[in-house]
Amino acid sequence: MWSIVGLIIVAAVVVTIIFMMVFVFNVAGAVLSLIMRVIQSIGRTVLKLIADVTVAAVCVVKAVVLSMVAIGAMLLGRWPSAKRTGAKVRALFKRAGRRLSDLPTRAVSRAARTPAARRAESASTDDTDPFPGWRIVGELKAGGSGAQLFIAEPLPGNPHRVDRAVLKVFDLRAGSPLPQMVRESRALEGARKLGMVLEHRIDKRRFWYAMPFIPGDHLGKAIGNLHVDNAGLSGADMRTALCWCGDLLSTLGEYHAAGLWHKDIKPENIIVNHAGAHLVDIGLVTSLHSAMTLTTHGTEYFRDPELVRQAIKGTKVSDVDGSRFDIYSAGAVLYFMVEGTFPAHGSLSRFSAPCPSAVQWIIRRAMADYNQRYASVRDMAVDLQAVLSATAIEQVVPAHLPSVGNDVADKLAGVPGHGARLTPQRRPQAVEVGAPLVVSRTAGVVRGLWEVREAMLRARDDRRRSLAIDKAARKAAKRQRRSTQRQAFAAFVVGIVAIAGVALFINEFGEHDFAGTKPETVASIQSIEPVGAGNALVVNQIGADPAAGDALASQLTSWGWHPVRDAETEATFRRALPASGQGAADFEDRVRAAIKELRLDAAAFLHADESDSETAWVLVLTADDTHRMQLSTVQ
Amino acid sequence: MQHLTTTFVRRLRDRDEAAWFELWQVFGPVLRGTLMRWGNGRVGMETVRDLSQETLTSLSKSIDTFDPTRGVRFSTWLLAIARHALSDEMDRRMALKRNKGRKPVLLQDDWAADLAKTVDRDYERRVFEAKVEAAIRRAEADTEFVAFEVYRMRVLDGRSGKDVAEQMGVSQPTISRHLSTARAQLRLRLSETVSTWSFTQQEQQEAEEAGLGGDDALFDEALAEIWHAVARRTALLDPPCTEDAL
Repeated sequence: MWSIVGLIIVAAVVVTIIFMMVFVFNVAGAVLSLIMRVIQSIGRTVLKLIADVTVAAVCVVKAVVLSMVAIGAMLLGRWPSAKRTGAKVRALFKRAGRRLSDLPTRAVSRAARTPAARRAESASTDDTDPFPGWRIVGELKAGGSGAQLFIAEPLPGNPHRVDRAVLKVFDLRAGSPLPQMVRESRALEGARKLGMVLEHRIDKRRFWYAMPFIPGDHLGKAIGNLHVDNAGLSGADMRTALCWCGDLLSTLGEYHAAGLWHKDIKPENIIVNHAGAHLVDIGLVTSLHSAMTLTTHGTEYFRDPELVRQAIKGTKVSDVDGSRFDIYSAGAVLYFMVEGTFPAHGSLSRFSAPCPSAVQWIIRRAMADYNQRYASVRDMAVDLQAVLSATAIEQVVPAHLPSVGNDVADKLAGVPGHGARLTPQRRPQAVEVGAPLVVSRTAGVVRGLWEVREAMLRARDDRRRSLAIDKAARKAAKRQRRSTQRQAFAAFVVGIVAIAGVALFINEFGEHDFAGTKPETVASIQSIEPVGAGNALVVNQIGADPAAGDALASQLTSWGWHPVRDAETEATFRRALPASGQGAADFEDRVRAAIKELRLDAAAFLHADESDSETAWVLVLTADDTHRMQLSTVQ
Repeated sequence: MQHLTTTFVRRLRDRDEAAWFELWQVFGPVLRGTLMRWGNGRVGMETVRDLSQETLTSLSKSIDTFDPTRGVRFSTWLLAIARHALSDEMDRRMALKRNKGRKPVLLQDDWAADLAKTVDRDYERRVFEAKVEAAIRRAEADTEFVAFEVYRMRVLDGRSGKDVAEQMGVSQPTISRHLSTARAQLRLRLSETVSTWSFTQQEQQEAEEAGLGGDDALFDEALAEIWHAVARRTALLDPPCTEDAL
């Protein structure tokens, strides 16, 4: 028993050491990486300095030679040539002076420049100022458009009042595709209307524009955090997700009102932070009235199959309502939020996670056939708002949605003699979307009061929503942290168990030992005190506890025996014992033979109880009898 | 041979892109599943997607010489093309390994008879289920949204009529009316879809054998059963969503 405890302790120590070594190596790796970066930066700076000095020296040499040429021309009276050469000499000296004058400043700034800034510089046409008014501070993962994305801060004098911006840079030299550059430049005008583009520049081989930087995670990651336990969304998480969808619909409403459609709505293009969800990436933004032919651009599973069909047919953008394709994508994104996975079967995709039936309805309506889905994002937003305004989202059913109410009422109006219709009594009390409207229509005086009340409620809802989003983000982070901790703890436990298991295995099968022998397997045991006289060998199986051996010796003395404690003799007896898992039929015979051979009178074995580590047992074998009894409590 | 079948084959021969897209949309998942199974772990999801596209490209090349009246099942025809595509891919890989090419297997007309013996029932069932799913999709597009949703809740999701009526805020007779509308559309589309993608009499009868030709109760029960079978299978086959997948 004690040996197992000891093994476990050793295993724990080994695993702890391994964990500590991993930590130490990580830290050492980071430090080494930093040192290498510094060395790399210093090396690059020195090389650049050498290059600058060399260029300056060459300029001076060229200037000296040309000065002589100019003097010669003057002596020959060729004034125009002397003037031209003199101008070249001036330019060369100026260039050399410029190279040498701000050498220390440039060296320092170059060393301090981030790798992203250096990459941005390499993507620029002008070495001195790649992006006028902006300083590159970071880089983002490039998307599928072939553009580079940089994070930049405005320099003093920059008219744009933003903390940071994202610069999307297309460079033909860096492999950016020209059609994509043309497409994005076409989308610029519309995006500027929406305030999504701060400024843009274009030249012969490069095109870039600046957009406000929105910090946060993309929706895919945020939803992944909410679905970390694979149990679907519920309560506050569901409300948060619906709020994000509400933000998306609100932004889409602005797009469509401005005569544009986004065309590439997907979780990766939605950034989520404490202020809500923000739609980004204007790469495929298209005018709803464009005379161009539809293209199949977009992302599978979030793109309406009808769009592909129409594009194959060669339909023009202006011949369809592009906003409906955005509605489909919004429905697919909402499905993604609820299910944590993309809708692999389009409108026939099934729900496996818990989802209120009203939300299912909204998703299906948004992803329905082109002619049957919501006519506008506003209709979808109204339905979503009806769900959000309920105190218990789970209890909202399709019948409570404004669009269903209208549909059903209109439809039933055409059914003669049919009494079924949506009655106010059948709607739950929680949803009261229509009531304020009715009151405001019938009483003009009350309308003002209602509007004030609505504004207050909206403000309160916004506050709550903001709090809910913050709470959800904190909760998700906490959940993630806990999950990591759980995994680390599990790894720790598994490590200990594995090492202990290996140790036990070696202990069990590697060497012959008494530890695995059960006393009950010994035949003809008596529990009468083994009173006698003569020499009794003490075989202590509780090896880690010598005090127990002393206790046995003392006990043997009280029974009249003379205890013998000799390690070598004890080893002889151990060899006579049966191996772990083997029978003990001839155990007594072998022990008695050993007693006789060594001229002893008895052998006393001390062993611990397997089920109770605090109890010790004594097994005494004499020439005629075998006794087994509890000795004392081992401390 | 059904008129719809010959019409559809003619559309394919005429390089009607909408027809090809329809074929890809309906049978793409079945092809991907079959190719994954054949690949037996040697080909990844991306390769399988490429191969399923390759299958349809091969199909577009062979469609001009194919005679659907020879008694070969549509599913067998599709499977043979897929097998050739996979075989070519494997040959290409082997050739890359050996650094020398091997002539790819030619698509001939007499492959189908041999292959018909090796087609397994699981594949046949999946092709049939793909046809049923296509029919449901078409019915969904052509039926009034509310009517189809009522059918979905009542039959496919297995809710009671009373529950659906409460969900929709209408009476039970209204629910019955919506059910009838959706069912009629489903029967029509199912008949069309099966006719379009069936070359043999045996394929034509598959819907009847599955119980889709019976009375309303039997029809609903059979359709729901197929729907759930497809759901179970796709739950196993569809890869979980990852950031990369997006």
